[in-house]
Amino acid sequence: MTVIDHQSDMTFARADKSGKGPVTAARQRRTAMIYAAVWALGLLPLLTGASAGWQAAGLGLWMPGAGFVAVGGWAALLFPLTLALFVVSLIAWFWAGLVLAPVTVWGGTALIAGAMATNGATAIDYGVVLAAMAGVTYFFRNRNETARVAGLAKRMTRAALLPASLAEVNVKAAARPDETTREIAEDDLKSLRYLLDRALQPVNEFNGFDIIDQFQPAALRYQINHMGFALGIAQGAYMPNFQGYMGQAQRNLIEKYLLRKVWGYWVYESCWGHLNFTNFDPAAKDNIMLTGWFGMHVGQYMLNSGDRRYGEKGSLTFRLNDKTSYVHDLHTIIGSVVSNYDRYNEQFCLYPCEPNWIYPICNHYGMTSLATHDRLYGTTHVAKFLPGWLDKLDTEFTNEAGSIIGLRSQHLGFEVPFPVGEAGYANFADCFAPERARRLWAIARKEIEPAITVDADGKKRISLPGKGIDAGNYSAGHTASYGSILMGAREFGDEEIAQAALRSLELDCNMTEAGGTRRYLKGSNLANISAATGRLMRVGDFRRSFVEGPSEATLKGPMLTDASYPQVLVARAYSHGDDLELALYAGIADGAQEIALGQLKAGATYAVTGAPTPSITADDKGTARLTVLLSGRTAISIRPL
Amino acid sequence: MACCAFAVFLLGQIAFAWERVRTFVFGIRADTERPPNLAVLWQPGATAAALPLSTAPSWTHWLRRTLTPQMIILAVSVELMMGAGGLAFIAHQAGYSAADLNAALAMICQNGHMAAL
Repeated sequence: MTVIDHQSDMTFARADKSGKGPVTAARQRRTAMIYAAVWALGLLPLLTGASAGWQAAGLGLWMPGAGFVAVGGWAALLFPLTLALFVVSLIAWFWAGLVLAPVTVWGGTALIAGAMATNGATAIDYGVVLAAMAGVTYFFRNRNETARVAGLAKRMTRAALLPASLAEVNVKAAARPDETTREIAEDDLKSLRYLLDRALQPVNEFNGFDIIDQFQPAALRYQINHMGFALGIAQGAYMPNFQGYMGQAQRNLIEKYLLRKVWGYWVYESCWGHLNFTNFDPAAKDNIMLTGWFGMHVGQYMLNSGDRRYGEKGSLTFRLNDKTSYVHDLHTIIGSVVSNYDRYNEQFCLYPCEPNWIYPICNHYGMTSLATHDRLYGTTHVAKFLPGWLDKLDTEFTNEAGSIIGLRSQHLGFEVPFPVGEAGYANFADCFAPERARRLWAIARKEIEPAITVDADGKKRISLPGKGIDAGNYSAGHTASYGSILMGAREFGDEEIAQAALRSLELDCNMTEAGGTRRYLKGSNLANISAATGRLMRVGDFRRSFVEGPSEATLKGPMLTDASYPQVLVARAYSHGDDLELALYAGIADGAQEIALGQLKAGATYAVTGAPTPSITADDKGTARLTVLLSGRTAISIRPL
Repeated sequence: MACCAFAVFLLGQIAFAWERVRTFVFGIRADTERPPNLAVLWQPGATAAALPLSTAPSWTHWLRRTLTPQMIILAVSVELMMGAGGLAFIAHQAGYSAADLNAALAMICQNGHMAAL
């Protein structure tokens, strides 16, 4: 994989002060011209002395529902009602790519007003609508200008604190743990079990998942992907030489993702967003929220396990019904990301999730998926796309404060103002642009610092303002934020912030431990996954699991291929090449358990320490079984004689 | 974290406004303390009896909480106002006077009575 870093001059925002890049400016000009044309069209009935109906319909083109002003009487009340409905239609457009919704509301109400009108529009009617237009325009211009000024001031503040903070981050992020000795702490196994319990259930069951809608952040696909990320991180960091239930859990999640229940949202979005009623292939045009995320997920599993089955044709087939399937594998999933970046290269380069809506965060997933594929198969996708991608990110998707914006309309060019924290992007950027990632975290940590307080026990904690919001189930709460901060802090070695986030999770999120599992009852499943991931992570683990992976020698060494879950909990499974080192705990009760080993040298004898049997001999397939006595932490070593 | 955080942002604003209006009209509810997320509570072997409620937000629960007598009175009042406004608008557009409308309604009632006989 090629890592290219852009903007090594430590700036983090574009020099252009207009607030928009050239593509954005062009799209906004086009939008303005289209609106001007529609406005002129709406004026024509008045100029030509057309009938009352045409005049009302024309006025309705100026603003959603404005035609009802010309109808007069009680019908005028439909004007504000239509405006409210128009806002709802915009939400539907954004929520599920329902591009027809605002068009239908605007155009439809103009026609209805035309049908209702009996008297021609008066000068007062036009005046009222023009005043409303002026009010809306003033509101948005004023808000944008206020945001622009505040953003520039924030940028200055950030620029002042960045160098010192970055220097600290560079030191902390360099302190990566020794991968040859790593082991999950017994306490953290409780978080791993939260993930394994859910991932090891039958593929078509979703117990323990939040099931609300399949369009937005609470969708099953996001829970599945992030659960896979967490397990992949644990696999690569602590147990690259454990297949068994760890591999099964990750494969279960990948298989779950292929169920129509999970990806079927795209059938609807294709229809009402792309007006495509025949081809619902989820890995074709747009939909980076599937291809980017799933590409990362599958690629990470392959990288950390050595399992290459998902590179085979048809291994990731999305079945629509008995007659129609969309045959894919990792290469074609990544191929979709590549072809979309090719298609949109001359435009925004970054491309949409739902039809029309471009989310930079999902494009970070997409670029990471390319980096993982490059690492696995020696492709050069990142080298090809990253320079232009970063350029567009900086010029089209970065605001005056230097922050990456939340989302932009592909067709209209307008930005939807939403504050997105730098911490959310940093881990992903660490996979393909590590210097940029450290800059993002250097900003984030300084903006988190004021929220660090000391609790009654004298321990540091994070105190976030307000009730917070959990994207995983659309409820109030800070669990998701603490989890996200924890992940960022762990990735860049900011242990003080990590400990403060852990303390807040413990105090604020109704943490309970039952059945050997830790969970936060005030959080969604997605928030719990973030918290569990953060607990398992150490410095650089996110990057390691997506673009580095275990060494070839480790993956070729002896493997723990089978152990019962939850009877046998694996905290470490690592090979230097010929040996195997295990650290096991009893998940239910101390006592004897049988485990299976594989990838041994056929017929070779191995010395065993930590188990009743002093030696084992591999059969002609290179496998062997071993009985172990679990009591507390049980360390087992297997070395060739 | 998720790509679609804007949805949460928008919903949050709507929910916030709604909560403010609701609190203003009906006061603070006793059950505002959030119940634990039952999806998170799940563990292998858990039975339906152990998890008595759906893991998704319960719409029936929401309805039970929302359909208070005050809310029903408010909703009916709004419906009546809208209905009356709609009738007045239709009558006005059709060129009928209020008297014409009353006569038409009386005729409809009379016909209905005769049909019943």
